[in-house]
Amino acid sequence: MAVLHLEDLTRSFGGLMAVAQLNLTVSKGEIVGLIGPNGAGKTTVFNLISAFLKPDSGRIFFENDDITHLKPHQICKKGICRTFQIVKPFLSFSVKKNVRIGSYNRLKEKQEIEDKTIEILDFLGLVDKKDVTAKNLSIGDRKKLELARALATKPSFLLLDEVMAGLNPKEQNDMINIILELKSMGMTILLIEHTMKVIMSLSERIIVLNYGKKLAEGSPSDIGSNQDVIEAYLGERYFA
Amino acid sequence: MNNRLVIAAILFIFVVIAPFLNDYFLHVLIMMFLYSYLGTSWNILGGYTGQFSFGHTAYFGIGAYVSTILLFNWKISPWIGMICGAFLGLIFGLFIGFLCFRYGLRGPYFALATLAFAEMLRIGALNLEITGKAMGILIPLEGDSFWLFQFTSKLPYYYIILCMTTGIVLINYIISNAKLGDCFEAIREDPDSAMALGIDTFKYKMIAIALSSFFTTMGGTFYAQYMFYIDPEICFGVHNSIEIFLRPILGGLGTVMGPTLGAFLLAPVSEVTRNFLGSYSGVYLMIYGILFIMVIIFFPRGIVGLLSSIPKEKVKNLFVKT
Repeated sequence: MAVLHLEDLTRSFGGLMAVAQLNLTVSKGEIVGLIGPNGAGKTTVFNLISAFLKPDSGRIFFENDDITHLKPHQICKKGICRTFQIVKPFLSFSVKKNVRIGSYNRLKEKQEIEDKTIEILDFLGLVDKKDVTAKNLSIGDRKKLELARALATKPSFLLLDEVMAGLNPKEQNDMINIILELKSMGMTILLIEHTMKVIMSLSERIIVLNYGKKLAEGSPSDIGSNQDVIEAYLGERYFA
Repeated sequence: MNNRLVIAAILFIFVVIAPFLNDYFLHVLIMMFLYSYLGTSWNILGGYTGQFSFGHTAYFGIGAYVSTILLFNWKISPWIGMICGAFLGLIFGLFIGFLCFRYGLRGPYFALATLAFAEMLRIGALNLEITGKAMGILIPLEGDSFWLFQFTSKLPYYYIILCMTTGIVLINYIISNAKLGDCFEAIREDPDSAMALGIDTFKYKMIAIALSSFFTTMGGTFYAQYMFYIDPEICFGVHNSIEIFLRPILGGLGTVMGPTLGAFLLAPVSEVTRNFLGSYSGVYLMIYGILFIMVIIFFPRGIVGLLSSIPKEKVKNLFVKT
């Protein structure tokens, strides 16, 4: 069953077609990887889904509702939450307060909010840093915090924009396990990633973008051997 | 708990000593609390929500003129005028907020837009018959009565402004410990993140400007009734806007006690310089300027930030209640 469906989605910046007539479907409980060379339009797709940008044309459906014209906070209420490629923590807040802001999306009772916040911090292994100010966190912890805040909004659909970038191998493994656990809890995940190891081991399906268009789509092994994809990434010289 | 006791004790001292003070000291304290009140009102929008209003005197002026016009022309009690003014100020605030926030004006652009609105009111007041044009309005003395908000002694004014300031500080305290305050601060820290986490940034900015304008307007009415004279420059001039946000910046933006601490610091400085350097008019403004520059360079988080960097737990807990 398709939860998210993009229909002929188009968005240009001046003369540049960032996303051109993109059709894309994500099914419930799936982990889909979105890859492509720099400037392929991956983050623009995220910005369009999360309503940070308005599409020029085309429509977006989530759980059969047309969400094309909603505002970012309404998208979040619907159950879609995004993280940012360049993490945007509330720098002067403690880790706990950062997560608390997210939990206001669904919860009202003070005690409930407190419990949920601690539960999420525990899940991500940030609980002993709960009183640290966000600006004093390492990049690895900031990425985790970004995810923690998103989880606090109780989403059913996560848009993860390069949550692995800048992490060391151990932290990457932690993050992979976290994402797999989220999937087992029934969450649907669309992720942008550059690290091939991560994308190949996590995704059930990969969609490759190039110049705003869908270049290829398929299982990780199909994509790995797809000639178009190799060409797009490495140039024509290697195509032989 | 200790912090509250200390603040309650200081408040108690201010309540008790007042009858023993002469008129001059009472005047200094009244102005100190008035600007602490205005600064704390400004702090809701400028400090917590991070929407730096450069034209807050617009609301102050609305409060002063509305109650005065009602009293002058129709003998309506300034207390009623204060409420009418407050709602008019709130509507004006929502109007400015709607225009600015709808189109996503941020930072300096919002500051300039608010400045422009205050200037529009100033020019309006300079040219309209009902506001007395450049002459301003001299409020007629009707007698010593609470209902008319007119007293021959300064003491009642002192207690009124002390109550108003205590009230607004309490309101700031309640906001800062509630979801509302968290949402305001999230918008200040990172509006994009706030949106992504489901906060309706437009709605919360509108709430902030509504609260802030409502309370600032009430301060304007107090000023008019205390001074008995208002004119367009006093009420809508840029100078007053600066006076309003100077104290929160000195004391610490987005903190409960910051604006009040700023006022406590600035009142003696400006009085001492005005008295001792009175023959050089304007020198006190230069001292303001120097103080302001020093604070921005060395203590960008204000007095509260400075105090909270002192590692003594008690001092820290006393003021940092964000």
